Amino acid sequence: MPKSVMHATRAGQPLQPVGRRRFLQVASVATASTALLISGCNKDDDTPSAATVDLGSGDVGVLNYAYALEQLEAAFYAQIIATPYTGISAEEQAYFTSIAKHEAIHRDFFKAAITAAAPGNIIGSLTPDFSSVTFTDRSSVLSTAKTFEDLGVAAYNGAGKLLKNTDYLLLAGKIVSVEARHAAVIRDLINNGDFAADDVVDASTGLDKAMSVDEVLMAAQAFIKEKITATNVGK
Amino acid sequence: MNLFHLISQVEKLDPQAMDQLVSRRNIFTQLAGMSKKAALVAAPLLIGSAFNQVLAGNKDVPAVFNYALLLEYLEEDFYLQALAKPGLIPTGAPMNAIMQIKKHESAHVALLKGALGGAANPRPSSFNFGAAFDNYPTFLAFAQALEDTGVRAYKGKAGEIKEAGNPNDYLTVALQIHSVEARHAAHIRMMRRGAAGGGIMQAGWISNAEANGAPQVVYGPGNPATTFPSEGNTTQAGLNLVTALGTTYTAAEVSEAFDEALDEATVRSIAGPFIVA
Repeated sequence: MPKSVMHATRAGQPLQPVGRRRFLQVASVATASTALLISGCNKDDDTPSAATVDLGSGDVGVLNYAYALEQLEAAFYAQIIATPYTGISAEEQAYFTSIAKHEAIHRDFFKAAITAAAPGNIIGSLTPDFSSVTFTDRSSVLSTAKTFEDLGVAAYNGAGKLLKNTDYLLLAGKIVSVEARHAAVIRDLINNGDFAADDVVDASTGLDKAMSVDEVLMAAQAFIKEKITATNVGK
Repeated sequence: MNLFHLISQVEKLDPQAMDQLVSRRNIFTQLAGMSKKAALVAAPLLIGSAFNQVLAGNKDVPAVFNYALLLEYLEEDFYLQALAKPGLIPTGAPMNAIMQIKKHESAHVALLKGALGGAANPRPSSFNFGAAFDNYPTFLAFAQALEDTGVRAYKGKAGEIKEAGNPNDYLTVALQIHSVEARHAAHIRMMRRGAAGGGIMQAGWISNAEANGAPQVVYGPGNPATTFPSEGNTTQAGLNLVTALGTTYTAAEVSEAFDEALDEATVRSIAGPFIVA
């Protein structure tokens, strides 16, 4: 998670200016002790409530879920390309250019595939909220990239079993390993050798993370302006 | 068919199928709740579909996991032999990375053996990797080939585990191994890029079907090629992504964005020569 999120979570209240709405999102993933704080803040939320986007049900819901995450990743890397961080090396620029293309391809692919399969059920374009990211700062960008890539891997790993159509499962498999490759490269940029470190690959089972839709959205929601609901994904 | 004989057979084959059977036994509760006439009509359907799933699970998933186990035995042994050769792997970051990868392959062996229980195939008596350990660059090229093959192999089996009813949520386990192999592959590829004396100009992902010194078959098509195209494939879900998305992307970029699966026979033809017996 980005540093600002960690701060806000640890202290139970924001140590640095973050938007009220964003703080609420952060607080919602914190421990139960902040529950009172959340209910106390809800009434005077100073941001107008954002639109709600429901991902839908069944396999299309899972595809929309992937589409939402790919939209987020694609927007993030596009911003890095548009405003590279201070001191970016030619090699890093090349990696980010490739990753930006891959994520944009994933996004556009899901848009085309869902439109073809279920034209009435595709979600619209989401509005990213990268206010917690300092795009001029290498460590802020890399740590956010690590969060997104590890989250993407865990999301696809957890969502595989929700897909009923094995063709979709194969497609998800084709994408998740590329996300894992990205995660490894980003992690190595932060610290060479962290590609599959013990914080992400369990040292005793050798397993990567798999997260439920709810767990993933809890983490991803902080970066998306619209409120995402996913009650029926895979059902 | 003798239902209770079947249950005891399944329990013997896979003790972990017990969890499933407990839920299968709910069928009888469901049946008990119906009128006698309705139950008589529904019974064959309910029981039939439930036990077909269990049977399929016990027929296919152990086979898939034994196939995965063979690949993990092979990878584990490959790194053990590499680590046992003095001076092959430079100390520091390269040695640490290979030890981390070896740790995961050993964990995968233990995990799959545990899942298979008595159905686990034994470790082959030995593996012969030929010239793989002659020098560091050759070792890394072999490692890349094994890891990229592993990624393709797991990917090729996800559907079968699903179709077998995903017993014990083994699909998720397979996916959790699959992405770790991809992390390994990416790092090995970067190690080759960063190798002393001029590395291979490649990234952590696979561009077109470029083998870069690894065997070309690792990146080529499987059988059938329509299901298992080469890593250079640019068509997904019937869409040619180079042209369908508005000609914004090159074939190389599209191929990098999707890894391709490989069928078991082709994977075995790649791995087979290393297995002595």
